[in-house]
Parts: sequence; C-alpha cells; structure tokens
Amino acid sequence: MKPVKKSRALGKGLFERENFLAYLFIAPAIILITVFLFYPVANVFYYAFQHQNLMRPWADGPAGFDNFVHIFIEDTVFVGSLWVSLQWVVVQVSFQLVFGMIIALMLNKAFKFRGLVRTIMFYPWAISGVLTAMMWSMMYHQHVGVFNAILLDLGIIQTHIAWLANMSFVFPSVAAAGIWRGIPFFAIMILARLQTVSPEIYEACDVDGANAFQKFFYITLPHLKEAIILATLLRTVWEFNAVDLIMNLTGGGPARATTTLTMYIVNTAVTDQNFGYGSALAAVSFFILLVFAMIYLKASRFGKED
Amino acid sequence: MRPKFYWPKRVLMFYLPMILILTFIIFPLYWTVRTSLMHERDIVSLPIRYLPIPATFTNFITAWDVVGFNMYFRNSLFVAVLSVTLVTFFSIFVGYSLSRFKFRGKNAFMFMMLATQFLPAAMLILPLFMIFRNLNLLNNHFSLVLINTTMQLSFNSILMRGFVSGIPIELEEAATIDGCSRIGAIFKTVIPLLIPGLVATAAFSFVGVWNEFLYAFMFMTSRTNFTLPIGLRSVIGEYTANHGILAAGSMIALVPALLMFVYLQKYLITGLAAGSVKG
Amino acid sequence: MSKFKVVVLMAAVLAFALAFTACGSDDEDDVIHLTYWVINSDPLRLPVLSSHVHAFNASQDRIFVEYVPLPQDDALNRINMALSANEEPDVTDLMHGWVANLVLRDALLQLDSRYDSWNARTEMVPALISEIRNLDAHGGLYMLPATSNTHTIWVRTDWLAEQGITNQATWTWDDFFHAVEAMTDPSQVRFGHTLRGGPGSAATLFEMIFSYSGENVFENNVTTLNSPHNVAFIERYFALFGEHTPEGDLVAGHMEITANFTTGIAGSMIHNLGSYQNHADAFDDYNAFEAIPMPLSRIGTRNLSTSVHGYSVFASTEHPDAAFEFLTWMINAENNSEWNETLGQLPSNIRVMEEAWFNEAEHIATMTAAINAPNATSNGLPQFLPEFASINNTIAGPAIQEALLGQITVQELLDLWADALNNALDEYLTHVVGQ
Repeated sequence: MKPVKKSRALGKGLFERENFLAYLFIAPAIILITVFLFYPVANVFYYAFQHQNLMRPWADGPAGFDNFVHIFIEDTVFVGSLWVSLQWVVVQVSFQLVFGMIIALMLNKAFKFRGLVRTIMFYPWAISGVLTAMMWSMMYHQHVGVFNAILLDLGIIQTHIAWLANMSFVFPSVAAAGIWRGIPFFAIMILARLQTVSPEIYEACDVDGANAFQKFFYITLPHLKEAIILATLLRTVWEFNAVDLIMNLTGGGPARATTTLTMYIVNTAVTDQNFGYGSALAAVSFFILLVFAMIYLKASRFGKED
Repeated sequence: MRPKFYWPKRVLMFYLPMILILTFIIFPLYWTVRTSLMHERDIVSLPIRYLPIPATFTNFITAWDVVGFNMYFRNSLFVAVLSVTLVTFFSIFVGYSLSRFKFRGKNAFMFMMLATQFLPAAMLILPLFMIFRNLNLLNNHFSLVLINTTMQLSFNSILMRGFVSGIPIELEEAATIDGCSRIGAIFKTVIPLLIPGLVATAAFSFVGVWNEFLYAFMFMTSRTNFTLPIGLRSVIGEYTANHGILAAGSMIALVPALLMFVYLQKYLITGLAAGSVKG
Repeated sequence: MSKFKVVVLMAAVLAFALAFTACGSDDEDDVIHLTYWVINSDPLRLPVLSSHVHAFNASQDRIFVEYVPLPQDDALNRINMALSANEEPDVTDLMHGWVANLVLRDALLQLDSRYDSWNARTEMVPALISEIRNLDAHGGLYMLPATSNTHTIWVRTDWLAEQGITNQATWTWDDFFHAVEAMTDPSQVRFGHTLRGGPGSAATLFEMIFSYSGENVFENNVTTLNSPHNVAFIERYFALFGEHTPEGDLVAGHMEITANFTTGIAGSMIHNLGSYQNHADAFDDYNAFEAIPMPLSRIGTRNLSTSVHGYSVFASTEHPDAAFEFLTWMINAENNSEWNETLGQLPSNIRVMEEAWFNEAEHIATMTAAINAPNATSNGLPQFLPEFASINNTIAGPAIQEALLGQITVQELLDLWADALNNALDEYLTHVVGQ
C-alpha cells in the first residue's frame, strides 16, 4: 500500500481527515460518471469485438479481433481520417490559443467599451452550431457567397473561388470557421486566469526595468502554465471529436479530404448502422486520445511546478 | 505633450489589432442579422444585398410561433439553469480537490474525467437511453440535467483545477491559523478569488447545455418537452433552406446566453491586475 | 460551515436531482392514444400535417393522435434508436429508402389484411402500391403512400429560347449536353448546368445512368450499372464539370445547386419535383423556368423511377386498427390534395387528380404525361436493398468526387459502385429472399 503523502501546507495529523475530505469533494463526479457513463463506455468496447450491423443482421455475432484487423490492415479511410484529424486538431488548438491569448491580454487592460467588446467576443461560442455551419456555408458559396463578392469588389481576387471545393482552400476555409468559433473559449479562460496574477510582481519588474515582452514571458506565461496546459488538453480532445461543423460545411469532402476520424466513426456507427465496426474505430480513437493525454501531461511536467 | 508621442504606438499595437479581430468576429454576426431580417427569396439573390432591404420581421414571428419556440425556450431554460447551477457548485470542490489534495487514485480519477470526453456522444446514446428508461426519466428534463451535468462537470472540474492553482495557498493557511475549518477557509479565501473562474465555468457550461442537441433529441419523446436546438434543426430539410427562419430563430436562442454573459462578464475582471499589464 | 453540513448539503443536492421521477401517468379512460412521428417538420410542411392531425382528433373522440416533429436529417437515427430500445411510436412518416431495412427487421406492421378490407383502397394509385410491395421480398404492404416524386431537370426556358432551343420536352441525353454547352456564357457568368457533387450526388447520378441506358438496374442478378455505354455517358457528363458547371459543384448539395439555379448562375439542375416551391418563390416570371422529365434513353424509351413516401405503422403498436384508421385519414382525398399541393408533388390518391391545382400545375402535367406515355418504362430502382442508401452515400459519394477531380477514372468509379451493388444483392437473395 503506497503511503499517502501529507499535505505540506496544512501540517501533520490532518492527512486522514484530508483524505476523507478529498474523496468527499470528488464524490459527486465519481457517482455521476459511474452511474451514467460506465456502462455506455463499456458497451462501446464490448461491441468493438462484435459484428453488429443493422443493415446486414445475418452477419451479427462475435468478431474476435476481426474489426481491429480490418482497421489496421485494410482500411485506407482510417489512415486518411487519422491524418486529417491530426492536422485539424493542431491547427485549431494552436490558432485558437494564440488568438485567445492575444484577446485575453487586450481585454485585461482598461479601455472604453471593454464590457461591450468582452460580450461580443463571447458570442461565436454561444450561438447555435447549426446556424454557424449554415452561415459560413452561405458566405463561402462560390457565386452567391458574400466573401467572394467583397474580395472581388476589392480586387483582391479575380475569379470566384470555390472555397469549399477547391482542394487548396477547403481545409483553411473550414479551419477558419472552426477557429472563429473556438477563440472565445481560450479568451475567456485566460482572461479569468489572468485575474489571479498579483500586480506586485509586475510592479517589481517595472522597477527593475523589464519591458512588456519580458514581463509576459517570465511572469504571465508561467502563471498561466497550468491553466493553459489543461485548457489545451481539453480543447484538443474536444476538437478531435468535433463533427458538426465540418459535416455541414463539406460533408467530409471533397473525396474525404476533410473527413476526420470521429466523422468516420459516426458515419460508420450511426449513418451506416454498422455499430460493431464503428465501436472498434471508437475504441482505437479512445486509446489514441488516452495515450496522447498521458504523454502530454507527462511531457509538460504537469503537477510538478514550483 | 508626452501623451501625444504614445498615441500612435497605442493605436498600432492595441486598437488596430483589436479592430481587425473584432471585424473577423463580428462579420458573421452582421450577416446573420441581415439574413434574419429579409424575406427568404431575397436572402440568396444576385446581386448580393449587404443591407436587409426590404426588411421584414416575419422570420422572427414564424420562428416564435410555428417552430414552437415559446415552448422550447422554457424547456431549454429549465435544463440549462439547473445544470449550470449544479456544475458550477460541484466543480469548485472537484477542482479544488484536484489542485490541492494529494490522494490515492488522483491521477486515475483525473483520467477518468478526461475519458468521459473521449467518445463521441452518438456512440453512447443507446445505453444512456436504456439507463434513463430504467430510471423512469425518459421524456423528463431531469435526464438531460443529469447527463449534461455529468459531462460538463468532468470538463469544467479540470478547468477549475487550473483556476484554483492560481490562488496562493498561503491565504487558506492564514485562515486556518485564525481558526477556520478547512471548508470554512475555502469559502472565505478561495471562492472570492475564484469568481472569474466561476464566471468562465458558468459561461461555458451554460452554452454547452443550451446548445446541446443529441441528448435532448433522443431522450424527449413529446414535442412539449423539446428544447431549442431541436426546434432549430427542424427548420432545415431536404427541400427547404429556410435561411431566414434559422437565422431569426438562432438569434432568439442567443438572447439568454448573451444576457447572462452581459451580466456576468464584469466579474471576469476583479480589478486586481487591471491596467497593470503594459502591452 | 462544518464538514457535516457540507456533506448533508451535497447529498441533498444530489439526491434531489436523482430522486425525481416522472409523474406523468397514462390516461385510464377509453380514448386510444397514438403517437405519430412527423419527419416533414419544417415550417412549410409541418403546419399542413399538424392541421390534418388536429382535424382527425376533432372529428372523433375514440382516438387521440399526438404528433412529434423530428428534424428530417436526424429522424432515421431516432427511429433506429427507438427500435433498438423497444420504444418506438405507433405511426411514422417514412421516406422511400428507409422502408426496406425496417421491413427486414420486422419493425413494421404488415397492412395487407386491413388494406384489403378498406373500402377506399381503390383510390390509391396502383403503381405506387406495387412500388411499396417491391420493398418486401414477399410482396407484403408495409406503407400507405402519401406522395410520389420523380427526378426532373429544372431548366431555364428563357436561356434555351435565346439559343433557339425549344424541343426540351423530347430531348435525348445528347440534346441535353448540347443545350448545356450552348447555355454556357462566361462573359455573363452563366453556366449551362450545376451538378450535385456533394451530399446526394450518388442518387442523382444513379437516376441519370439508367435514364440514359434504358435498362433495368439488375439483369440476371447482376447490375448493368458499369456497362461501357454508361461509362462513356458519365465521362461525357463529368466533362462538363468546371467549364460548364461551377467549380464549387464538387461539394454542392441541394441548397447550393438551387442557389445557383435561382440566382441565374446556372441554366439547368437535376433534382425532383419537390423543389418546385423554391423556384416558384425565387423567379418573378413563371415562364422563365420549367421542369422537364429525364430525357429519352439511348433506346428511345423514357426510363423513370418513382420515389414513394408515406405512412407506416410499427409492428409493436397496441392499437393497429386505430393506427390504420389514422393512416387512411391522412391520405384521404382532401388531405392528400392539400399535402401534395404544398409539396408540388404527385398525389397518391386518384381523386386528387381532378383538383384544379393539379391540372393547372404545369410541372405536374409534364411529369404525368411522361409517366403515362407509351414509351415510359420503369428501371426498378433497388430501394428494396437495405444497403442501397448506404452504398450511395458512403461508397459512391466520395468516389464520385474522386472521379470529378480526376483521381480515379469513371470506369473505376462505376466498377466500385457495381461491385457493392452486386454484393448487396447477393446477400439479399441469400439471406432475405431465401428465408
């Protein structure tokens, strides 16, 4: 039995009580997750080893590792979709983080209409996803969309560009919509976190003659480190599993160029009603995310700060 | 005389980027508003109309009456408010636990909460449906409250961990030395400083629940219990685009989230660090 | 606050949330309560259907129908989940392509016995009834038809007139291609055609192929899809892409091609009668556009297929007679007339064909004439194959885009598609018919 470490901050003799308190505090989460999510998740793993296809019920039955063999050996769509997922996640999270950070730093300063700007920054996150997809789809339309109209009028482009059909433009176009939507997450989160940075430290640096960039990198950023790591991790998982926006903009096309792994999973399991194979794909996706999370947290030396 | 020299630098490094970013953010909103105020036949037309002329309010009226928004609104509000209350309250404790305590199984627990986000909801629907049916909660908004709370709590507790870490532990130590119990110390010292984090949590979880479609659609079996996202999705069909009604309906749906945020956003800034970061 | 109080508070909050159970109780009186799932739930169609439901409830007090509108794109998922959990309703709308799979799973109630003793059954269009019977391997009737639809070409009559073309009612596919090329005018940003390369592309292409070949989909249990003449035909069609159709068509779905057509970007589009309302709303001059049937095939026939959409009863219903009675109400002459007039599609009730709107609607008159003409044949659209839609969307759809982009040849596309269809038919014959 591993010895439980005492909290160094609150002195000896408290650790038993502290354990009890810790478990009490996390009890609601544990109860909810166990009651509602344990069986559904286990169910997915169960069906990963089954043939289960509502379109072909005669083939239903235990599959052993057949599904997984098919995924890793024969399924070309799987590999492609994994690659698309990777690109999607990297682009989305990095741009959202950078823009969100810039906005948060800006909003942390006092200026007129700050409250209004804060509220405006929030709405891309708040508005319905169905509408977001439809709006961006309309705006990107080659001949009837407003983007081309404006760009043509300004002379920036010469012909109507098919933003969602042209292979060179489709990924950046869809990515722009996704980034637009996700920036508020980081902006609000970082802004909230910035509030606990104590101003005395900055003032001390001012006395020492530090400039803005130095202050940012040596004070602000380290303070935000834990929050950024967690937010980025969560956002990565989220974007990995985000289906709706891409589905409604391109349907995963052209020729699967924007089909992420999760879209492939949902298409297989739900649209094609092949729940067995879809579950196997979902199980693989689960492990990819799990391994990523473990490596990410380890590599960022999380929890070992100060 | 001095301020005149700072003026262009401030514009360049602050206001200009701000305006560029704001334009990027606002443009789709402007297009949504324009679309919502136009007749359907004018929405997709050439040459493109940048202004909603001729304007009409029929889209809003149709959305409110025909699509059943008045009903769906109340349902969405109930589910969202209750879920957000539960999530915000419990995430304080779970997040605090993750940040401050060291206990056995802490990492496993954190991964457990992370893992709830790993699978797409569509894969979990059928077993969840069975669970709620066995609990006699089908067609009951409490099923939505429970599943949304579960998912949002997992997500936001992890975020909350990040917020709690930013609060110096010395404050609690001082409070306990003064005679407070552990929990008392939390309420006295941590929570006041956690308010920006609570605002962020409330904002994220509210939006998450408010726009949640799949669970609401699968677990509610009579239309009187439908939520707003279901109403919005009904506007689209194979043969109809209905851009105007969708835009109008989405704007109606946006109102509570925005109102809530308008009220809360001033608490995002505690004034502690305001104005002290030079950019 | 003491620890104890916190524990109690948290437990209370959780218990409160968990302990609430549904308190709706079923009516114990004699009224039969039916649940009806509505798939056509957009702001144009739902009011019509709901008014029919209300009228039914008001006209008698033995049966009360509650309708539940489902978003169309998600409705099938909902139905499937309900079936898996044994929570399906009594009655539902169904689209043509959904029926076969549900019949396979014994999810639907067979209507034959009640149908045969239904007095007004002679009002049903016979061709539609037999289409529905085709969906079951044993010829049972599992749906009552409400409307039928067929693919058409929507075309700019005025643009054609400018090119001196007026024979579109008797076109061959060759004539169509020439007309498209004639209508293209880059200086005015005009394209002769807008093609559906995105969602729904396969279904349209499928119709076109058999409209061109004039053949049945399956001959001797092998599909004729990838015959050499079909390959040449599709190559000709795909050659239009980019030059005579906008480049954006690669991912275009219904909304995008309609936008292209109604804003005067494209001179023709292939869809079905159902989009009539979109065009009517957009064009000021009704004479500027028209619907023409699919052109004549290479053997001189007009090879058409018919989609049927209607109402079905789930097998698990506790009130089959009441459910059937409700179905017959929804497709009676008066309701069927209003419904099809709203849709702009072909009614399933013969008596509706005497109505004024039916006879005055030009696009309907054209289609009816084409269907009833002596050179009309039926291609046997394999909606009886449960996997048909899935093959089209998952296998053919992406491959069509690859072919349009030149990443694969048209021969490869059609071979891939044909293989999938042949396999599906094999399995169907072995496992379903063979039972």
